[in-house]
Amino acid sequence: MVATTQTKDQVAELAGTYKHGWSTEIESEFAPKGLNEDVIRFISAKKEEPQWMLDWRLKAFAMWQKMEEPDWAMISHPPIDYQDTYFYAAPKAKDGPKSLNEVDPELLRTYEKLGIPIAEQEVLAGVEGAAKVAVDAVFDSVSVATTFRKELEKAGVIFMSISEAMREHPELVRKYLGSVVPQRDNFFATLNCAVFSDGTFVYIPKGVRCPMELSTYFRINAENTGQFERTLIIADEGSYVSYLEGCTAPMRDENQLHAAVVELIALDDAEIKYSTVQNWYPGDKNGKGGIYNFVTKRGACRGRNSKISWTQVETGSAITWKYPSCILEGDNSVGEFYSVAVTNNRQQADTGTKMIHIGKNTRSKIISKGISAGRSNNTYRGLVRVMGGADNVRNFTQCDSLLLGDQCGAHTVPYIEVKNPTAQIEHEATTSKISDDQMFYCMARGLDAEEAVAMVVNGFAKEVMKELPMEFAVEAQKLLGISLEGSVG
Amino acid sequence: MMMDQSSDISGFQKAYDTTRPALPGGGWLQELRHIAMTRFMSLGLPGRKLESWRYADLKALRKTPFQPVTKAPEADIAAIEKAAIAGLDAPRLVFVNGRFSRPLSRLHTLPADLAPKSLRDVLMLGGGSIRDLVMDLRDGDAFDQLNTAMMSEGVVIEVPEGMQVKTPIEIVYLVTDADNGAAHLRNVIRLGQGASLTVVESFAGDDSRFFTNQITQTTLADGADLTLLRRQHEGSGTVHVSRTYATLGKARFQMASIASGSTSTRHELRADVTTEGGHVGYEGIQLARAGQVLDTLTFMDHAVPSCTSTQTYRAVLAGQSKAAFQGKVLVRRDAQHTDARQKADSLLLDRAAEASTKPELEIYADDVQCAHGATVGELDADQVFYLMARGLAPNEARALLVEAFVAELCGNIANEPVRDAFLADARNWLTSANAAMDAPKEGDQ
Repeated sequence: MVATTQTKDQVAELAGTYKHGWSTEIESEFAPKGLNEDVIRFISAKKEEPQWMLDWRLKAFAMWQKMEEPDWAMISHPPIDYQDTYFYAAPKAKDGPKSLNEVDPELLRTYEKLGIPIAEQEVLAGVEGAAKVAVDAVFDSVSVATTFRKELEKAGVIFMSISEAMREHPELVRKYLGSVVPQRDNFFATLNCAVFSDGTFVYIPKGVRCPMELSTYFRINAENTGQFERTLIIADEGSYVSYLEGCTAPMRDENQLHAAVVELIALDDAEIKYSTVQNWYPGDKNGKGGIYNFVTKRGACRGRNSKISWTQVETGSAITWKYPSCILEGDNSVGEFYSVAVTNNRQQADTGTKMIHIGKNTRSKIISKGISAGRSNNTYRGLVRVMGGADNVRNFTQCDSLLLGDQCGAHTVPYIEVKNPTAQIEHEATTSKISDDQMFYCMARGLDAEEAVAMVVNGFAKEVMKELPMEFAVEAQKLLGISLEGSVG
Repeated sequence: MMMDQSSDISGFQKAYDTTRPALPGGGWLQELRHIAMTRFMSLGLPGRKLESWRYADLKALRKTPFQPVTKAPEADIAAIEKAAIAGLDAPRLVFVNGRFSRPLSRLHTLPADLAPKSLRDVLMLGGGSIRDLVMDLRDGDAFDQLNTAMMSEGVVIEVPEGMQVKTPIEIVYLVTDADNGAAHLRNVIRLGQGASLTVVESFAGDDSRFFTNQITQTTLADGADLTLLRRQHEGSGTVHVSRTYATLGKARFQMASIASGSTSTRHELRADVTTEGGHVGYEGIQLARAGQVLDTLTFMDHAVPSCTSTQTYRAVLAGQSKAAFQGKVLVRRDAQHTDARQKADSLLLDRAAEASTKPELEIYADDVQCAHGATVGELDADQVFYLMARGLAPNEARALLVEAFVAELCGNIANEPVRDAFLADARNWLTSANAAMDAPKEGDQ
């Protein structure tokens, strides 16, 4: 059932680029390859953005031109030709497969395992003519979504696309956009500032507990925003919101380069829980194709007693470059990071977190589980920094790596920088493999090798998986097993 | 930022040009020096943007044109005795401001076939074997290049196959009355099969401005056992950069280091284990006082199966000081059954102190045991309370706990006078750090 809601989300996104979709001007909605000021003006004009927004984009573009692509991560890829990339709504290939028979059977098998209905499988796989079915499905869901929207409105929650928000709530967007991830932050974030296509805006008013888990699915007019997505979530004093991003079904995208920015702001006593399941196309067994995912995610605990919690399950993308972080400014604020990153075949993941302790009595917890298989490389990179004024800081970090096979790599690069003696910082890391005993034990009870691995891996990742909202938890467990297929035997 | 500019090193070129005629070594070595100097000038001093130098402080090297010392001042034996290890009856080599002093040394107690030579003598004599002696550091970083270009003094110790040297060899480096001088030292220690040796180095000095730039290359054949013990307590005007290379077969390399000296210190241990069954052990203590930046880097390269390494690092920071530890374990593809452990603990005694730790694992083999742990914090208030409840004054209680924290690492040193010297170093540091801490603010929480 959950698969269905998630799937519909994608359907909505995919449908947007087909002529049967409910956006009528789609055909003209893409800019030519390459990046220059005109492309940025085009994007801004398409979005009917106010002048200040265009100026903001252009300023970022000017900065970006002077910046260099970072090279410190443990990833390698051929140089990215930014002038050979679509920066806005790249057109989808129109000559998709005629029926499911033509679709990569590997992909179909995965859909099946995740329990996705046939009709939706067609849409996901981009089968020609399937869009109409999908659109019907979406139309069905629109009424559902509208119902949800009403309920949210009643609570005073603002939940819309960021383009809409710029028009309807410019004061909020102007105040908070770029306030957590500054325009100049890093190469990919700056690029995003210049070209972001759309994304989500959430505002939870004072004292409101958001009545439901939010996910992009409920946002109407969702377009293909996977490439340069921009998310801004503000939890005002005493509010709570749980946000779900992504999808367990494998996502194909013509655009190889992804650079999203997510900004979270938690004011006094507010709490934001942000959960991600990332399963973009990882490329084939030989590492051909696959998404380059360069994401900047950061949350600011601005208020006293605020809390931001990141949970991520990363199984997709050829390259994952992602460090969801917390800036703990408010006294007594709390930051958490729970991560499972799985790499197989030729995938490369360099992911982790930063916990910057500025306020007094701030606490953070980092649990990272890396699983490497095939010929992949999986790196945890994390920073815990305690500033001079941050008294009584507590941090606990645990990063464990599991290696499946002798051709993969597992790396741990933690930084601990402490400027206050009252801090208590603890860090632990281990590296191990699945023991023969564990395999034997499982297989003696009738599991085959892959099932046994899936079970052990799920046990290894349990501490993180239990942090996922119910909506994701079951599927994410299956996903771990599927991602590691072919890694044993 | 200013720190990252490498332009400010013309002083080194000038120093090289003036010193060159006096540098020991024949034609091939002169050529090697020239290439190294050219490389150094193009590399520049590493800035903070360079990952492995992010916590180091090389300001003083950019500001002061340190001139290699060609003639050392007179030093009296009392100063040497003070710097050396009390009660250690051992052969002793003495360097004053980086120049070997035969009269102050004590070589007569050495066995006949274990004669340490001065690197300078060896280089001056020339001959084919020296080429093998000097490690090829062409691909190394700026300090490898600088050291190769300028090295003029050091110790060469070769322990023949099967020789078990029972008494340690002591090397004392004293800095006295040095006016912006520099010592570019290269030590070469080679152990034949089944040989064993302990070398103890003590660095000490007054507050004059000085730059110690040392590389120690050690090579251990199968069955060899080398223990390298370092006490680094140079004066507050010194910049100290020392790097130890260990290349070992199925051998045992053990290093223990205690450092409280210099305004800015960088210690490195880079170990390559090349035969199955090799072991590297490292124990590092850093004691930082106001104004100091103490930086340690270790790199354990496991390239073959079934080797082990253990690293334990402890830092105590008082006043406005910085101490950093970057420890890396690399387990290459074929190095199955590697057992690598690493633990880094830092104790902050002052609000203005800053501790940084980066324990890094890079692992490409699956059947391995690799773990690291790191902690940063202050003294446990409960423990302080416990001792105070038994009648100790706050600073006594603190001192006892800090001493225990450091002493745990000295316990493995087999030689008693050396172990006592390490403990005494820690105690002396504590006394002065405590005095400095108690001076401005009275009482304790």
